[in-house]
Amino acid sequence: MWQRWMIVHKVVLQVVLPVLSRLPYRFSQWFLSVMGRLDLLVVPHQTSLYERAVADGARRLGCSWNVREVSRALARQTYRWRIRDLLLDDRPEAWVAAQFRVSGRDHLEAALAGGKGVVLLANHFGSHVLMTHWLFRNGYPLRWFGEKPRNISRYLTQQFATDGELGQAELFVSRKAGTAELASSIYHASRVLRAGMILKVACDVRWQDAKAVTATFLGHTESFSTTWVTMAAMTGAAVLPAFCRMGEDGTFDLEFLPSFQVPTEARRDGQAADWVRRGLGVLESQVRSYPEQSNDYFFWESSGDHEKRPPELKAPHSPKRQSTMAVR
Amino acid sequence: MGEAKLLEEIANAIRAEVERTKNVIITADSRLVEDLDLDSIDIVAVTIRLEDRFHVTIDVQKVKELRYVSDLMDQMTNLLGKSAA
Repeated sequence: MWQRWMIVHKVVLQVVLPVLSRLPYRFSQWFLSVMGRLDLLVVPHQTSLYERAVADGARRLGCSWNVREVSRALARQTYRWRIRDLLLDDRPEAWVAAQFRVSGRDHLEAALAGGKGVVLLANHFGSHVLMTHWLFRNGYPLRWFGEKPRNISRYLTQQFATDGELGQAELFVSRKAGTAELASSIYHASRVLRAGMILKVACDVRWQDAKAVTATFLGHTESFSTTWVTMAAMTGAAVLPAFCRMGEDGTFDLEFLPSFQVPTEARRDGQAADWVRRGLGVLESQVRSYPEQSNDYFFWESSGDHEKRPPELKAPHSPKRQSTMAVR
Repeated sequence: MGEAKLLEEIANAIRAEVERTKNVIITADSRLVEDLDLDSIDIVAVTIRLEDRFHVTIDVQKVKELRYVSDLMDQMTNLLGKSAA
């Protein structure tokens, strides 16, 4: 039901966004929060859907949130986090900069100074796309590793329009990609890191492959990707957890935490799991403190229902050349 | 470097990165995925190990084309030939 409701959100936003983008920013953000609140008032059972989800989250985490308050705050955020950075197009540079409060920038600088690249350990919490926006605006050498984000600003679309060895194009991955295609993307990602750049990778990607690990997040046991762990271990890049929360007034709190290293041996069987759990643990702390920024985490369906990645595709066999050489 | 020696180096790189291939016969015709059961990360790890071993850099566009052990051999042969020239 949540997935269907998100489709309705998309349609509604397609109608209102062209108008909102021409209006004063604060008004547009307020309007979006009102739309979110109206969902609860107008749509049958929506209030109970939100309250059940928040109450369930509180129970699983052992938190004593005010369920009613958190539900309403979450609803107010729902349209706002979906519009990502779309309302920042065509606004003055200085004005955009003033919308961000940044903490831990010294951690970011220290991680970059290590010279081995930075795995920006991101997530789907709060206004996660906005950390990308801020990093580009401030001239940081950033690439995004993951599914290509949709519904983003023209500014971000332009930043992503880079080709070549260190370009963005090869770093967008699809869940339907075959082994060779995925290998190419991961190899590109390793090149980006070895060039000392920042690679944004989400730590909360549910995934099914031979290297995925089972972990508990927000009280749910799911299978998660270990790609960020592997890339950090292979390249020696610093891992920098980062979070971006949206305030009620449409401003953003961007927080960089101290970076850490993943040892080379973390790639060995079974060891990546601890690092995945560490990353998820840091994210879970944020959800505990700011449940209204949890977006759709409380609405995750069980692992039996969510989109699973098909097995890595294998090409049909055709012998390349005859060879008598073999190595045991 | 002779073909046999290069195959040995590549096989060693595969075995170093992918423990389950330790007792698998590796030939130039071995398919990386279907025969050696390498996944995308394994392929990248082997590629990087070979780059470090031979001090070469593989063309990023070529990684997508790696299907057989012989593809890795061809890449290394080309790159080693260029670096010797």
